[in-house]
Amino acid sequence: MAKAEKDSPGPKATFVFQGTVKKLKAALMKSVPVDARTAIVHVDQVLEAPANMRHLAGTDITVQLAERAKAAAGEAFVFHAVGWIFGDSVAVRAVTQEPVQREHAPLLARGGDPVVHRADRELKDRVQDADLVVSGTVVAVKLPEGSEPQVRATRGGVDVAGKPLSEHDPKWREAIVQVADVHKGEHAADRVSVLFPSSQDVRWFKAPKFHAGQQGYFVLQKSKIKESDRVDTRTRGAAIPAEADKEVEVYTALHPEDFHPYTQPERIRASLDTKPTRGRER
Amino acid sequence: MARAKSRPGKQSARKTAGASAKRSRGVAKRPRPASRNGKHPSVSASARKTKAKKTRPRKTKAKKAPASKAPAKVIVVNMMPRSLSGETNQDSEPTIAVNPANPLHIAASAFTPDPAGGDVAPIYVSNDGGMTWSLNAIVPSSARDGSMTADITVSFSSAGNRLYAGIIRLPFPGNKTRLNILRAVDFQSAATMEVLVDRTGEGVDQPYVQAVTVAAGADKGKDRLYVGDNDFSSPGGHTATVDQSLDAGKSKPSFSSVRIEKRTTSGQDGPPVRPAIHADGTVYALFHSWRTFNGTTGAGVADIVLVRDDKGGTGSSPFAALVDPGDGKVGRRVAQNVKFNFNGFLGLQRTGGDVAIAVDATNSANVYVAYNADEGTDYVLHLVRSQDRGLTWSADIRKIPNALNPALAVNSAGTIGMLYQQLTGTGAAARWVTKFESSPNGSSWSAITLATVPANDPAKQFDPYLGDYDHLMAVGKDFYGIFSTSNQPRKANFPQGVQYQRNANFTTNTLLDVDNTTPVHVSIDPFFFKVSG
Repeated sequence: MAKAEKDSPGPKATFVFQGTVKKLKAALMKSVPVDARTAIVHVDQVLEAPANMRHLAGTDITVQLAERAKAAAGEAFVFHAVGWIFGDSVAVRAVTQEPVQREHAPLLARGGDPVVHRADRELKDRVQDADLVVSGTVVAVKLPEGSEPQVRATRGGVDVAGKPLSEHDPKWREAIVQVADVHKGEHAADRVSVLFPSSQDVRWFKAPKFHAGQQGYFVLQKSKIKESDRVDTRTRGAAIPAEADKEVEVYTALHPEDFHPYTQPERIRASLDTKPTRGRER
Repeated sequence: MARAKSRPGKQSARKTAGASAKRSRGVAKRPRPASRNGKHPSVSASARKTKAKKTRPRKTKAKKAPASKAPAKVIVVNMMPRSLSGETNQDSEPTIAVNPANPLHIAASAFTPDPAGGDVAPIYVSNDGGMTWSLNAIVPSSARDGSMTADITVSFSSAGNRLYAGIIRLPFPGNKTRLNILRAVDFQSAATMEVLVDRTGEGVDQPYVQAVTVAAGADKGKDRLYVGDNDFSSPGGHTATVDQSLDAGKSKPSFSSVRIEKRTTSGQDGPPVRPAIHADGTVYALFHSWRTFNGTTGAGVADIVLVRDDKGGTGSSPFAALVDPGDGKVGRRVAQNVKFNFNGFLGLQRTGGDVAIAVDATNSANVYVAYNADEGTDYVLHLVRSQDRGLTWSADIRKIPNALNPALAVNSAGTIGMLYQQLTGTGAAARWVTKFESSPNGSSWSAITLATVPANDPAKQFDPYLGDYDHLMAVGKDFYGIFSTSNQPRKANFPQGVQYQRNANFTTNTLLDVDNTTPVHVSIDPFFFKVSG
């Protein structure tokens, strides 16, 4: 269901901070292997961070410096890093590191919550990847077509499941959204059908769970899916027909940022570059 | 689901928002690790009473441990490191791997996301025998899919320090779960684990890895890796599978899929497929063989089936050594017509078929099997034993109502250990009680309560609440285990004592953030334990 993984030159930084190198070839935790690129760095300012790392401003951490980057004790950098080891202290790996220069001034003066900054950047990425962004109202939630319970087939006196089932089954549901505005992409119809997992399994629990009456912004990805994969495995009845292997195109909402209620419009509005193409923006 | 209503402790999830506001905001100095609960972490209550034994954990290899009739020493450690004191994730479904070549090196896994939210998931790492833990983010994952896995198990080779993992890798398309088999040459390094197998097909579920290094013979030094999984690509509904490599340590190991289900199924087998290895080349695999299944109600009937290979899976027909005398088919039915419900719950924990297996390190003919069955309103854990390589089976040697997540191991003295989690009480008094029981002979048992915590706090974030499994293993005479449960810091919750790495105040019963001041909600954490033999 997920889009193909994009080619990436390397890991995407999730922790951005300004730091000053205190000591090279050193680490704060015994479990960190030390080499020429290992350094103890004082975190001067956290610029973007996940919630677990927002507290690191003013502390020392261990950094595996970026490849081919030169650093000396006392030098300040803007580090773009990913997580590595979390113990009594924290070690991160720098994807890139830039000596602090004049052009960093706006970033360093931005202020605000580094966790919110990171979340906003991720939402912008999500919107940029989206095929369709609409606002509107969920008017119905139903089983995908073909999921209705049927008389189960039997073989040798035992039930014959239509398709194998795992605890990670998404339990697909279809939300019918009455479209008020189209904010990205093209959609001529008054309604759009959104496939979402109703499962509370570890794989799917963070995905939005829609119900009739919900109003807000829907950030939708277009995906190709086999007809047989769209229906709810648990409610399917007899054997799967041959045409079930046919691929259909559906809109999905799988990420927590794929729905934003009207009551909290600020972040999604800020991430949308364009005016709605029809209707009236709320 | 209706069945679950009559079980003790069955309640809907209740909110915990605001709970911390009711707690004391008194700030305690962060206690020193060794006294964080007022007790020494490495000593059981009974051992403390005797005051007869050392209180420091041994660092010697288990095989050198002296025989002792003194009460077992018990260590319980909350594995969440101090730098993550603010986390509130549901870190359920843990497994553990002790490096047999160096038991100070231990790896563990759970549904723990990368704390930095990147394209990796972490494993838990200890290099001091489990006394302290850190997270090392080296498992391939996807940030946009939550920086974790949908299943993970770990196992060390018995020589060579190689760590293997079986994961359901994210993302996966629709309901087609994606198997990855991974390897780390150094589990403490920063290198992302190497992908040995990446397969989706029609979906592969619940990979469960076990590894061994061949100690003698022509294959000496080769790692044999057995991954029990439920492979939906297998034709004819024979989905129980062992993916095996007979030389997993080499640069490009080859794997083969051995279909171990030989009977007509309801269209598939259940998720758990559990291998167990003996050093003499015997390999068992246990699975939940579905006879009937109703997709609407989730109800079904299964057989608990055991297969065996006597040559490590090297022959032309692997895992065909054990034939059921009842129907002449490969795979001994240890128990038949076992009822399960794939939609069922025991408290907040989903059910649907628990199985566990252990083979006696001193004699590969001795094998123990645990399984669950729906019996009336109870979810009953059964433990049975075979002393003739799986051909005949005892009646229940333990039978425990409303207990799940069985994990078994047999130590070098032939003592069987069993870990499980039992729901006791009802309503607000319901508790998850995690116990370790052991027996030298299968008839007389001693039990240790490792944890007893409120069953409904914290609220469930996702299924599974505690995990579809936990884990136990033995190295020498020592048992090493892992379970997930509420991290509420209260002395009475941990009768053997406990050591927390994350900030916690056991006087105010409050978790504290990294600032050692801000209260943090309780959540599900993994706990390591060791019972010294």
